[in-house]
Amino acid sequence: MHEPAADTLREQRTEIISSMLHALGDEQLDHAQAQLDQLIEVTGLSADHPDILLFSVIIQIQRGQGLDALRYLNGLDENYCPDVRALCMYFLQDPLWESLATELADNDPRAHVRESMALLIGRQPAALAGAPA
Amino acid sequence: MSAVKHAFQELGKGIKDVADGIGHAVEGAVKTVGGALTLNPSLMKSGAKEFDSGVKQSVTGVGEAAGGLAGAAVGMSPVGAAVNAMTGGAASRLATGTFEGAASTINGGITGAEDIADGVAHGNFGEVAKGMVGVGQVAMLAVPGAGEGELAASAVAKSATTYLLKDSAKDQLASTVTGQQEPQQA
Repeated sequence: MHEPAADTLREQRTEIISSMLHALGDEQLDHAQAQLDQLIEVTGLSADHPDILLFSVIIQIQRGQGLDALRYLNGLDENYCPDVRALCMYFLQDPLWESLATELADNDPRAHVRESMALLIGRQPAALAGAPA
Repeated sequence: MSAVKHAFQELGKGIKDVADGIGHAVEGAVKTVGGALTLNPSLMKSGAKEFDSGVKQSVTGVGEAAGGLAGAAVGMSPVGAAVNAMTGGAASRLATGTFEGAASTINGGITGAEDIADGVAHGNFGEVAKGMVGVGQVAMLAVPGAGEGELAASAVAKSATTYLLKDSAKDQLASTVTGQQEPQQA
């Protein structure tokens, strides 16, 4: 059972996220950034929270400023959001993106990182390989 | 002569394949903006629609219906599938509030982020980058134009990825890209 206030917050977050995703799809990057800022405010999360940071980096990539995003990511702990870093390197066409993504797909302790990196290198993730057709 | 000509044609084709790079391999999933590779916005739009559909279909919230891995793997390019999985997962966690359990781990996972968090909070990566140390040549590069992109990628290979890779990959890097970066033995 959910409390009404919690449901309201969830609806608010959902609306903001939807608006942000549509803005990204419509190439309205300033609006996407504004929605992300609002999401940070509503959730109380740090701008460096992995789920927030991902969208910050994607917005930067879409602005053609992936290099700035990579500079920032390189200032964080090397084990922090390595999947986002690999994605950033991919868009920068850094030739080493693939070795990092492969390393993460094979060995990262987090299932969602292994899965997304497996997809990035064109491999079927284990989570799907064992799933019924 | 024809064999030589054929060899040169093949060589030219190989060079072209390299030059086309990632964009060639995932045609449709990416596009170039000002010389920089970006994601095709249509993929994000598709993800947004999946997210909306998940919200409408799920009684308990967006949950698994928000897109992500299962949808990502079907009929998409690798990068499209990966971005779909990453953004779908993040969007789902943010919407459902499951991010809260991970929040306490954030501060402990960052080294030196306190100095630059304000810049990110305002979405200004450029300002943030100005104050950073340890990024070497990458920090001195402008956002790449068409000609500078290769230089940027090369510099990233030389310095930025030093922070990212384990020893085996570093060895590979040293042997293939930066022969002079190995420390001199006394």
